[in-house]
Amino acid sequence: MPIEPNPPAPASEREREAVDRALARVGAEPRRSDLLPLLHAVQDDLGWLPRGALHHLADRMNLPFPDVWGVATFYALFRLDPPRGTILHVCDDVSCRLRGADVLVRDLQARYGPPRRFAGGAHGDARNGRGAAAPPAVDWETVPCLGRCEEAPVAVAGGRELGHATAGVIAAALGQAGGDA
Amino acid sequence: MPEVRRLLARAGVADPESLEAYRSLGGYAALARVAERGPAWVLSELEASGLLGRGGAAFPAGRKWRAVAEAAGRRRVVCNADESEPGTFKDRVLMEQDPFAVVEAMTIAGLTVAAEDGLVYVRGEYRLAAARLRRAIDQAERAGLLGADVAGTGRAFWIRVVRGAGAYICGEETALFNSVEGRRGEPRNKPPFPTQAGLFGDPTLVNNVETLCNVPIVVLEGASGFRRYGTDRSTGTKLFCVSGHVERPGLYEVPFGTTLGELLALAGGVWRGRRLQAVLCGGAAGTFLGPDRLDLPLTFEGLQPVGGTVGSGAVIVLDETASLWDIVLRVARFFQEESCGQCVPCRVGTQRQLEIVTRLASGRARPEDPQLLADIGAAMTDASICGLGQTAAGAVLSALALRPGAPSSSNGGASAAHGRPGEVV
Ligand SMILES: Cc1cc2nc3c(=O)[nH]c(=O)nc-3n(C[C@H](O)[C@H](O)[C@H](O)COP(=O)(O)O)c2cc1C
Ligand code: SF4
Ligand code: FES
Repeated sequence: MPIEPNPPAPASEREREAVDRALARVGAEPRRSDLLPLLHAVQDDLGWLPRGALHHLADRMNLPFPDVWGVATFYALFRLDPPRGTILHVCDDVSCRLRGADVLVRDLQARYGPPRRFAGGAHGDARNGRGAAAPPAVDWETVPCLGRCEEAPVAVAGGRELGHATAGVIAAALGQAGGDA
Repeated sequence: MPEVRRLLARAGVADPESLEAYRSLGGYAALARVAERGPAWVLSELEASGLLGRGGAAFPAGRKWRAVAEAAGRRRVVCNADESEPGTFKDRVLMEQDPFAVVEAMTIAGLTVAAEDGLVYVRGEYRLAAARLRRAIDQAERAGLLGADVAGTGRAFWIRVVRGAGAYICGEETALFNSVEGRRGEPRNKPPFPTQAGLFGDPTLVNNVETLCNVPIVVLEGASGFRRYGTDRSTGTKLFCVSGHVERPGLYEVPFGTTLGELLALAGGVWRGRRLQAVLCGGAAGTFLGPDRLDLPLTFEGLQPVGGTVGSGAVIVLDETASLWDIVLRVARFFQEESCGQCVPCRVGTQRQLEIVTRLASGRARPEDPQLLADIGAAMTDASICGLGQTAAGAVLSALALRPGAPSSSNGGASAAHGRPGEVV
C-alpha cells in the first residue's frame, strides 16, 4: 500500500475543481456513504486520484484525511499515481491462463515492458519499462478474473473490453484509444 | 439432462434496454401478483419453494426473507452483484441481458419485507451491467413500478446503484456494507447477522443476483411449479459458468441434479478431443474434482460428501495437458492478494500457502510441504472470521488429494507452465 508522504501536496486548481464538481452532483450535505461514488467520479474526471484532490475531498466532507486515504488505497481500481499511458488490464486468472493468458502476458511484456503487477505478487516498476524520460504509452497490469471467462483470454484496453485477446487485438484497440488514459 | 431456459428465458431475446420488451415477455406479471396476494403469501411460497441462495452459502431464501420481514425498524434490501469469484460470470449476464428482472425481483423483496430502500452493489469492472441497471431503474420509476407508489400499492421502494472498486472481499455481505458506508471493505464479526443489523445498522435482506432472479419464477409458478426442476433438496435450475478447456465455453442453465458429465457435454466436451484432467468446481473458493466424478449430480447434497461445492457455479475445465500446479499457484496468489489482512490466520496463512505452493509448482517441494499445507489449511478454515479465509485452502488441498506427492513435469509441474494451452509439454 502506498504510504502517505509528508508534507501533503496541495490540490491544484484542476484537482480542486474536479472534486467540487463531483460534490455538486451529490448535492447539499455529502455523507460518508457518498465517498465511494465520489472517488469514482474524481478518478473518472482526472484519470487518477491525486493526493491533493483527496485532501481537498476530506476537507470538504469533514472527514479525517487518513479515513479517505484508507478507503482510496483499499481498492484495486483506484489509482494513486498518474497513469503513464493508456490503461490496460490483462486477466491472468485461472480460466484465461487455460486459454493462453500466460503467452499473451509474455507477448505484451515484450512490447510494452514489465507490467505494474506481475506473477508471484511482485510489483514491477513500470518506470524501468522504457526509461523515465520516455514513458511508455501503455500503463498495464495483470488482474484477477474480469468475469468474462467465456471469452478468455480477456483484457480491457482504454476502457474497452476485449474478448479472445491477442497482442494484436490489444495493440489495435490501444491505437484507437490514443495515448490518453 | 437438457438445457432449460427459465432464468435465461429473456437473455439474448428481449432488448435489455426496453421495459416494453420485458413486459411483452412476461415481465412485471410477478409484481402484479405480489401486489394482489400480499407479503404473507410470498413468504410462504418462497419457503415452500426450497430456494437456496446462489451466492455461495446456500442459505434458504425464504427463511432469510421472513427474518427481515419480522425484524423491527427500518429495513433494507441489498442485491449482491459484486461477482468476483474467478471463473464466474452468471450475474454479469443476468444484469446485462435481463436487468429489469433484477429490478422487479428487488421490488418484490421490498414489498415483501416492507423496505423502502434498495441498493445494488455492482462490481466496479461491470460498467455495462451498472449502466443497464440504471436505465432499467429509470424506466421503472417513470412507469410507476418503482418510487413513491409502487404499482398502485401505496408503498414506496427505491433502488440505488453503487459501483464497487476492485476488491473480491467486498462480495462478503458485511464487507459490502462497510464499503457502501464509505469505509474500508473489511468484513464485520457475526453476529449480529445482516437480518438483525446490516447496512447502516438496519435489518437487511442481502441476496445474490441469481437468487433474486428466481423469485419472480416462484411467484408466477408457485412453489410446486418451481420444484418441477431440480431435486428435493436442491430445487429449481442453476446457472453454471463453464470455461477453460471445453469446446463451447459459456453460461448454461440446467436443473439441479444434472451430472457434471452432462454439463460438460452441453459445452461440447473437452476441447480438441483431449481427455479430462480435472474440473475446478466453484472457482478459487471451490475444489478440484477428478475425471472419476463425471457421474456426480450437481446438487448441494451431491457435492458435499466429496468435499465439493456448487459455490458460485464456476466450472473450470482442465484438459490432460494443463499444468495443474500452475493453476493452483494462481489460486494461491489470488487469496494472498485478496485477503483483507484483518485477521491473522488468513493474512499469514494465505502468505505461507503461497510460498509453499510456489515451491511445489516449481518442483522444489520439501517432504514436509503437504503436511504444512494441511495444517495451514486447518488453521485458516477454523480460525478465520470470514469465508475468504475459511475457503482459501480448499482448492489447494483438493489438488494435493488429486495428485499426492510432489508435482513433477509428468503430473503437471512447472515445466508445463509456460506451454501454449493445449500444447503437450
Ligand atoms: C470472500 C467472499 C466473497 C463473496 N462474494 C460474493 C459475491 O460476489 N456475490 C454474492 O452474491 N455473494 C458473495 N458472497 C456471499 C455473501 O456473503 C452472501 O452470503 C450472499 O450474498 C447472500 O446471498 P444469497 O443468500 O442469495 O446467496 C461472498 C462471500 C465471501 C466470504
Ligand atoms: S478471513 Fe481473511 S479476508 Fe476474511 S476478514 Fe479475515 S483477513 Fe479479512
Ligand atoms: S479468468 Fe479471465 S475473465 Fe475470468
